[in-house]
Amino acid sequence: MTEFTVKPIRRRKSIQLLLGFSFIATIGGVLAPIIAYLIPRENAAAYGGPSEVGAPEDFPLNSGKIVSVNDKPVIIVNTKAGGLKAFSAICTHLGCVVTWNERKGIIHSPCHDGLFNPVNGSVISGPPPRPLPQYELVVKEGKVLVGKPLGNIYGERSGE
Amino acid sequence: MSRESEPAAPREPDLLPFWPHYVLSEFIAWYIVLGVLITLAALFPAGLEEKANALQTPEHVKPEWYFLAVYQFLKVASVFASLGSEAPRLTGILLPAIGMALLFFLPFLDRGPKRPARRRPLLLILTILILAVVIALTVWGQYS
Amino acid sequence: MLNPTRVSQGLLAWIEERIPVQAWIAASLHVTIPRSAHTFYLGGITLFCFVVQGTTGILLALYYQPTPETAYDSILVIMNQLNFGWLIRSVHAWSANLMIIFCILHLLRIVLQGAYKKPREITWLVGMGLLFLTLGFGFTGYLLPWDQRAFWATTVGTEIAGAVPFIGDFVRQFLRGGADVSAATLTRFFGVHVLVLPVALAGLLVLHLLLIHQQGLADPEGDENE
Repeated sequence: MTEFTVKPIRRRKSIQLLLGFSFIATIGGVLAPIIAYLIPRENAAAYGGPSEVGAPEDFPLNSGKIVSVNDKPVIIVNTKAGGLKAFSAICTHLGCVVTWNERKGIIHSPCHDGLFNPVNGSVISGPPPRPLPQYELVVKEGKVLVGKPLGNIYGERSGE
Repeated sequence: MSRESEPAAPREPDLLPFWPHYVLSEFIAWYIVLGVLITLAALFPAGLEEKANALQTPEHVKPEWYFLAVYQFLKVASVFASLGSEAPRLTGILLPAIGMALLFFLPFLDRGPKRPARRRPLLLILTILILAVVIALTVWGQYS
Repeated sequence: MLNPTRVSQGLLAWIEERIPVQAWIAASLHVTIPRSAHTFYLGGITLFCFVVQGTTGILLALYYQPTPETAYDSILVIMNQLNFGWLIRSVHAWSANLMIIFCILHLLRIVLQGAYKKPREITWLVGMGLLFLTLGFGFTGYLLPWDQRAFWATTVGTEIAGAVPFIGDFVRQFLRGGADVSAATLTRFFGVHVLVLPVALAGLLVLHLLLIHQQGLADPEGDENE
């Protein structure tokens, strides 16, 4: 038979253990709800179907316009090469909202001069790491409707 | 401790160390209060009425319980109406204010050397009386 | 290899060499209390309630929005959508009531034990200041949910302040930030509740505790100037 060698636990020691455990348990019990409370709630403005952003006449050829879709900025561009397209207007570099560069006919981020292709959202030059995600866009009954982001929210890296 | 023969001799107080004896008991008291707080909050969560509407006064507007006594006293002060049209409002405000001022300056009003309440019957009677009036006004305010 | 015990000991020694922390802690803890001064822990419990109010109050202020349009809705979000939001607001409300109750009980003990007598008059005055600030917390905090009870209790409460002779009209306007209870009242009460009163109360509290520490607790069985 194996011989058990158990260290005897003294009463003082066990009381200390109990007190320490209940103290830590109390701290945890107080901190846990506080941390849970600090977690932001889900964005209330969740996707509620395609939203109307205007009529096709509002987006003439060689133009780009920022519209709000579910509280997020989206740029609607109309080019000869790509037609009417919708991209996220949040630059993938540092989150600035992009603008339409009339002269060059491309999407321009004002923060660090990132340039994006208005046909597929890919990065032409500058620091942005990823292309602009494209959004679903349909023209129905004389209305331009913007829906969900297409594919991966981060899009695909151009030239890969 | 009986020193009948020398009543004037200074009495040595029996002392308790603050640390750890008193601190430990204080911690236990806090522990109990924390438990009471969470129990009360879980059983009776804070309520919320309809959104404020400046065009519609609800029935039974009441202040918080700790202002009820003053609120009720202001109502009761209408008995002073015989002294003039402004008398109820003035007494209703001024008497509680004077009461608070007297309490504020208590150490300068009561300058006797005796400390324990049982050796100061006047103070004991006054405290009980004032407490009774305030509690009565609060309860009256709650149920009127 | 780094031994955590030795690292922490080294760090403590490093600090101790520069500022005598241990001596400060020893000086603040090694005092005695007359056994006859039954405190019933009333002042300490009031202090604990204040700590609870500070903690839960900061948490509530992270989500609360002090405008008439959004205040009520932000309370609804706290109560219904955030994790444990109902618990934090309810604890804040209950602790506010307990804090006032224990303030009053503490005051009664001081009166009945005659602890306000010489040389502790200043501690008493500071304590009365703490009581008034606590009542101010209750009065300003009551408006913040912007529900019917809050709005009308504040209307009536500021109206009562307006009954003070001579300066009443000014006091009422000053409290409301205008002629009526409005958006200006809400931002005013919010600012006072979360900025002015906490700073004032914390300052007086430190003074109160310092005085108690320096003078010790009064022995109710001994007479003044013992």
